[in-house]
Amino acid sequence: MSHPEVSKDEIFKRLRDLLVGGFELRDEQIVPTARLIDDLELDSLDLVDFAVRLEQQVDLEIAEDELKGIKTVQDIVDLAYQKLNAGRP
Amino acid sequence: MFLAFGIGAIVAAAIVWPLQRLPLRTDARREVWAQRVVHGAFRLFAWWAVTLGLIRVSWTGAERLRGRGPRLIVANHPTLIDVVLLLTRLPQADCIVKTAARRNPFMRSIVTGAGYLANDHGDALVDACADRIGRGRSVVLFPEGTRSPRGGLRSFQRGAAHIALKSGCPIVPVVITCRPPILLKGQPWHDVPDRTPRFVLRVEEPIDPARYLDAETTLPVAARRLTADLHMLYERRLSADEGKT
Repeated sequence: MSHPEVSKDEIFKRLRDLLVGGFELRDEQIVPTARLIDDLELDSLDLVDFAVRLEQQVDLEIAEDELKGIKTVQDIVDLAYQKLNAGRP
Repeated sequence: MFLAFGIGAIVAAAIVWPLQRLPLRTDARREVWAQRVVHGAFRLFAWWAVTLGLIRVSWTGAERLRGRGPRLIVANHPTLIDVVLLLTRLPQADCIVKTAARRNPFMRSIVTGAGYLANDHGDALVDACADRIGRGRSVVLFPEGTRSPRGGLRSFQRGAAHIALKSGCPIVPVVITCRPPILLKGQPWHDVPDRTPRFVLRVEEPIDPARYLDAETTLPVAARRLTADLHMLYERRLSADEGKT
């Protein structure tokens, strides 16, 4: 039996909780267009920690190369949507 | 002053180069010997600059830098010679240098001989610094990443906090002021003030990173809070200093 599709809205909510809880950010800062480095002030160490949290809490594994390509919250939502729903018909 | 510094760098390099070839047991031992040469050269340079009346230097709380490490020493960075003055009190200190310094013909031999770390990879650099501290060595870094703006302070990068949290090593803040200002970022070397610049280096109480860690606090949040407190300490000290002048 396959898992139900995870919607982009659901992924966004999970990411927002993770960013707010893990990095002391405010709910209203987490918008799809927010840039991780320039707007949310995550540094390279935060991004590594963020990738670990994604793996632990959202079961999403992001390779180092993929991490480098991520600029905004929407980029993660899109990548997560693609990965979490991979293999679905 | 620049000429003396250049000659000093060549002399120090001439001492460090054969040291690197001595049959010491480990690279770490060679690095610490090279760091002692740098410490001696900087002491000589500072003595020379003070004796000729080019600068005046005073310290408070310098006893906090005495004795065995490891320590994680952080400082604001108002002038080009801050690191020189800091290292006059630190016979052993691992510094973090720009990658360009490894290519500079005057600096290359000293930088590599002393095992100074390049500032290129954030997370790898944190691991490298924590590893040095774990081996009992002290590390010096400037959390602004480059020289401070005139009379002010840049935002702090969180690397120092991450190193402290990872290693458990207390941060020893050093607040540096120079009045009137010289050798600021963008200030020409020949822009010499009409009175002797006075450097004051204040070594503050160490900050224990364990205070920032508990079961509910994530590492990035702890690093943010520690960095914010550190920045606030510098802002307070510098504005108090500004009020006195």
